[in-house]
Amino acid sequence: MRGYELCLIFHPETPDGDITGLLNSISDLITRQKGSVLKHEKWGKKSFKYPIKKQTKGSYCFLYFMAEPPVLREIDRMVRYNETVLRYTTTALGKHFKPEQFAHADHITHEPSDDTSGTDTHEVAKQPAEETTDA
Amino acid sequence: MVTKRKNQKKKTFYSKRKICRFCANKEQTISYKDYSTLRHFVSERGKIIPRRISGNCAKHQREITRAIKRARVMAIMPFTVSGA
Repeated sequence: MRGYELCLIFHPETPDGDITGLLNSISDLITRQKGSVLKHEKWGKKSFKYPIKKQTKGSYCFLYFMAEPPVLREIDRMVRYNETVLRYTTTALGKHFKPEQFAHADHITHEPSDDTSGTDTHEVAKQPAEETTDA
Repeated sequence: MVTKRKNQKKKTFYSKRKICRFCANKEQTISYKDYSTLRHFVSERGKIIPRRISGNCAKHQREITRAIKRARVMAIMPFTVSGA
């Protein structure tokens, strides 16, 4: 089980409902695969430093989760063909990451699944196996 | 010639070695989302500042570089700034 961070950039005109809908379905997928969502974060609309798909603004969302590596491929499949997502990237949280640092997170969307107790002592892999994907 | 060369050697200027700010302050973390920290390590043009100028240690310079490159992909930082 490793810690990951998913960053999503949504089209500026995406309704809030669609954003939370996608975030919930990703969280569902993670929990179904015995992972756990630690925290989610919304930055709201932020202007880009350069245009992406002819847009100058976008809504940034972040999802921190623990999961097995194959789950990333399924998330990828879910997000890649979603037209509201302008760009996304998944990064492995480094070796300094501990799941406890999200213990008092404000925005927990899901109850951590049973196997989080096992991950408390589990350090994330030494080399952050990086998976960076461009939409 | 020999004397000239000697004179040149004398002129070599040593500046005080800078301390890596991330080594000095262990609590400061490097993240690609943290624009306010990363912006100190790029030039006006958006180019990454070398270690000899920024004073970072090798380890933290690597982390900074990685963070800046990730931030560029997510449009948090610019690839280039034209007309700067």
